[in-house]
Amino acid sequence: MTSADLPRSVDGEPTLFPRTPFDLRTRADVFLDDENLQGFVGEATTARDVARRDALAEMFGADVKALRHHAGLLKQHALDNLDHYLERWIERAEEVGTRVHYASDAREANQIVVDIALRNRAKLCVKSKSMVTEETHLVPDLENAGVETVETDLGEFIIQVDGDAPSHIVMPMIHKDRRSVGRAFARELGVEYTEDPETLTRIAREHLRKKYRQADLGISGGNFLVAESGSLVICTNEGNGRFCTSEPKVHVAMVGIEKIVPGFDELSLLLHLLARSATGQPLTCYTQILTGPRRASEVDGPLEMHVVLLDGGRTRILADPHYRQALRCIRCGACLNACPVYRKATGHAYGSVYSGPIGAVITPLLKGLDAYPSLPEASSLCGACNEACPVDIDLPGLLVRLRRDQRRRRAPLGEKLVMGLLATAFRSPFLYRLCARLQRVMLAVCAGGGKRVRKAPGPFAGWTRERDLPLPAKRTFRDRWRSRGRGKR
Amino acid sequence: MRVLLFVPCLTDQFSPRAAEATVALLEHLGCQVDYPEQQTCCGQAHRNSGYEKTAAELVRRMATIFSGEDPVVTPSGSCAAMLRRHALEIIPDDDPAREEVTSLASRTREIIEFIDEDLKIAPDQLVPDTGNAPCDVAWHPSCHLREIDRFDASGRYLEGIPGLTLRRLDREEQCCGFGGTFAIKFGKISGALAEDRCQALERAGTSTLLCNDTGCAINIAGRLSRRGDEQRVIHSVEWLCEALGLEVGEASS
Repeated sequence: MTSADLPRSVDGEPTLFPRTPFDLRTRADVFLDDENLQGFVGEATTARDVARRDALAEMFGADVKALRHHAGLLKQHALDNLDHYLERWIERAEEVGTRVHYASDAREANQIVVDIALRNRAKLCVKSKSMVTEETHLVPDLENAGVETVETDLGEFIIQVDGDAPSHIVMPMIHKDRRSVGRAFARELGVEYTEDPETLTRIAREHLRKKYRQADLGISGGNFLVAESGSLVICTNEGNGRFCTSEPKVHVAMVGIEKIVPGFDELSLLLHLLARSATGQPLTCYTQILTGPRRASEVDGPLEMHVVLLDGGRTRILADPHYRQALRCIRCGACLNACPVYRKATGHAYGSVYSGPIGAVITPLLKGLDAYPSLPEASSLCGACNEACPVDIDLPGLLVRLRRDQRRRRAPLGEKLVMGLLATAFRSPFLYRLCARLQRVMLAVCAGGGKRVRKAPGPFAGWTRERDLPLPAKRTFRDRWRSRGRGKR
Repeated sequence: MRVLLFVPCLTDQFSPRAAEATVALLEHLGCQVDYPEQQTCCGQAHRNSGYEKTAAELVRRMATIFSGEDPVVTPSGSCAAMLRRHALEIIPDDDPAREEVTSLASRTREIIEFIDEDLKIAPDQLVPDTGNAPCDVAWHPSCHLREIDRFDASGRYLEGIPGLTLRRLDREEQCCGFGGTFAIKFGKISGALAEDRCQALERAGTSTLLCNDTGCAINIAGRLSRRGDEQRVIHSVEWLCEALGLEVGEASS
């Protein structure tokens, strides 16, 4: 696969790896006009959001908030002591025969995987769903090295067959409907067109079964690394993860270093929260705890198990005491489902592997604020993301912090001017009153004698393109208070 | 009880009637309302746009103007959240104003919260019946009520008013798309979110929407007006004053 084959979005740029600086609006404004897309994404996210609330409330009742806070502290503790837990994990993992690799960036991580594949003369690789391999863009590198790589998660498989890119952390094909799946299968797999979900699933299943048997390499991500035992934990719903990690003779897992948890007690709570937050299930259908490759006494499992630990900018985030909490994320996707902006802009508008509120925070942190300046701005700071987050990441607070950092480096001139004028007015009640009057006069001119402004000039056009602006009252509360003859304080 | 009234800049200019209703209601409940005239803005706009230094300066200014021990009551959830939570995030621990800001944060209340949690007046004690106010209204919980833990509580409080049918909008947890400068910078996304609220209100089938934040109110009302819809958006306290038959000064426009 060359860069010319990369899936592209409505702006003609590679969907998840666009040219930067990237502006979310270039795509979001197009997606907003796509009624079908708005329908799928709006319904799926709302349904999952409701399922999350119900599942958490059913199990934990009024304790949900306290539990989320507690889970956040657990992850935070692991991050605050990451060096300690990571060392312990590596020690235990190597004791049970896992080969541990460390990659400082995406290129290095992919090279390690390609080298393992080539050393084992792998021809066919089956791969389960993993965000981190999307982040490093692993599949094209494997294919370029001559290793056919098949995505086995149903959603990811469809995306791969159709030459598309995932748009949601947990529901990668949330932006597609079954008709587009039917068309892609007919075109690429040579089957008869159908849009019946069951038939489509069966086609995928038959296709994938053959691949599992032939594959000589299995690749997965990892949801957690348990320090006390050196285990890798993988949560899936389709069983494909089990095939990928048990059938081929070599298993490679690529995992971000932030996935560490101290022990099984902590893991238990996080598993409870992960599935409920992601899909509203009490637990994912398959929760694998893998501790090393096949042992001498065992008859199945991979002969080699490798774990590639990826930094990829994470230690830089870790070094900042405020941004560090972004690494608590367990990739449940709950903040995407709850986010009003994600629901409208939809995943590909973020121009990055990670979308939604968590994407708006970690994409600029991983890839640079100058590359993605619009992401932290694309939020009304409504707080639904924080409320949904099972590890209580203060996402709105981090977005505001990114805005602050951005302004400290280079504030947009016009905005700086307006904010400066506002600040001057706010320092003095006299100037404040004067400005309020001037504003009313200006808006009244725009309203042309009417009660509301239907078309405002300059930056305010962003408001009036979509809605009217009522005129400010003729007399402010302040004026009314004064004319009532109340005493001054 | 003496109460210091904080009227945020948007409310002062676009929705003065909500502030007048707040005064009328507080006085009806026996409070002595004082309005420090030096007040302007709590710093929320600057803080949210990343101008932290200016925001901190405005917070310090507010803390001086509202010093003392009396509760500070405001008809805006988002400005209450700014003073309660975010003010302390931007004032360093060793700042000379830290103590004053901490005091302000601890005394700031959103109006319904104040009646419910500080005055401890149950909804049926507050308003025995709906009086001359419409008895079938919809409710839009403004997002910033989350930050002061009132997102569910304020709706539940209003539901406790005898004779009042409070309609919950579909996806009531979904933001109306206001978000200050967000509504201007991301106009199309913001407009689509406002449209969702309008459609939800249409399905609720009431002619009045209650909302406790001026920002959300002018956003939703602006979209309703663009659609040519007739529903009115008012603050809960305006409704409460109507129900109690309290005199509330002039009309907003």
